[in-house]
Amino acid sequence: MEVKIVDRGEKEVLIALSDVKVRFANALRRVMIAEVPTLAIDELAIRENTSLLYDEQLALRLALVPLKTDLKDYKEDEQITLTLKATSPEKAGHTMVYSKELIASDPKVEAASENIPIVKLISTEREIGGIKTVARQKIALDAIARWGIGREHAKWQPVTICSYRNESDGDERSLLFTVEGDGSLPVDEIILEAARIMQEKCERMVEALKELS
Amino acid sequence: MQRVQGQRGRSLIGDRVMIPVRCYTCGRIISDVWDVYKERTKQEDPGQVLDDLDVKRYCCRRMFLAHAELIDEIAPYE
Repeated sequence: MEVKIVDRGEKEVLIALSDVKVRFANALRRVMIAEVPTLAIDELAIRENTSLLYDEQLALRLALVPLKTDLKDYKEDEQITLTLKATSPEKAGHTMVYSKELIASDPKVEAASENIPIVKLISTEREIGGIKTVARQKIALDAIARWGIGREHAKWQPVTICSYRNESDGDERSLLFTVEGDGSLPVDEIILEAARIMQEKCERMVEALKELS
Repeated sequence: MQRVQGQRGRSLIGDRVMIPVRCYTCGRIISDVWDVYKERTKQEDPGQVLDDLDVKRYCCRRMFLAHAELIDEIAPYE
């Protein structure tokens, strides 16, 4: 097997694999998608939500925010708490709540993309019986982030596009792999971790067979 | 009068209100450039803006083109 790095960007990596069976490339692809662990918000404790989104919608939006993950810190049952508090302005107007406003208990954890709008909080002016009031909106919640894998939910999937195609350059045939990350893990780390997970699985297989014989 | 339930799933209603966080198809984060897209398309060509924002695939591009931002419109009926 021969591996050649064609393009190595921050979000996208292109590698050419030659002298390799398609089934091997496919196994690697499937491990990258479904078995490389990342952090994602999994549970919310909503203290207050007077925004225009239902609690469930807020939960889904927060879960899809990629969190910066360090695989060295992987602990299966680890829980990281993130808090989010925001109120709409005192006068009529609005504030947009962004993913960067999530504050984690572990300073290493933060949203991989700062400017994901979570919810827009709007203050509206109302006049009831000649008295003007401003109705403000507020959210206050604690989110629990957990480790998980893409097989369980796509929010834990570290890659977006992860595919390969046949490339032939004259007599040379290779598989051109495109891996695009969502920001939670560096792309090269995703590929390495996937290879390591595959190796571990094969070793476990050997162990199991040894016990049988 | 009998009320007929809408045929669309309830979860979609949330996405009508605000831009979805990720592309439905590939999962790429798209919402982080929505503000820029909205501002720039007031004057510029949407296709050109999406090229500049590095939104390459048509699955992600349709998320922008087909989105209707309704949050300000439903705000008075809270």
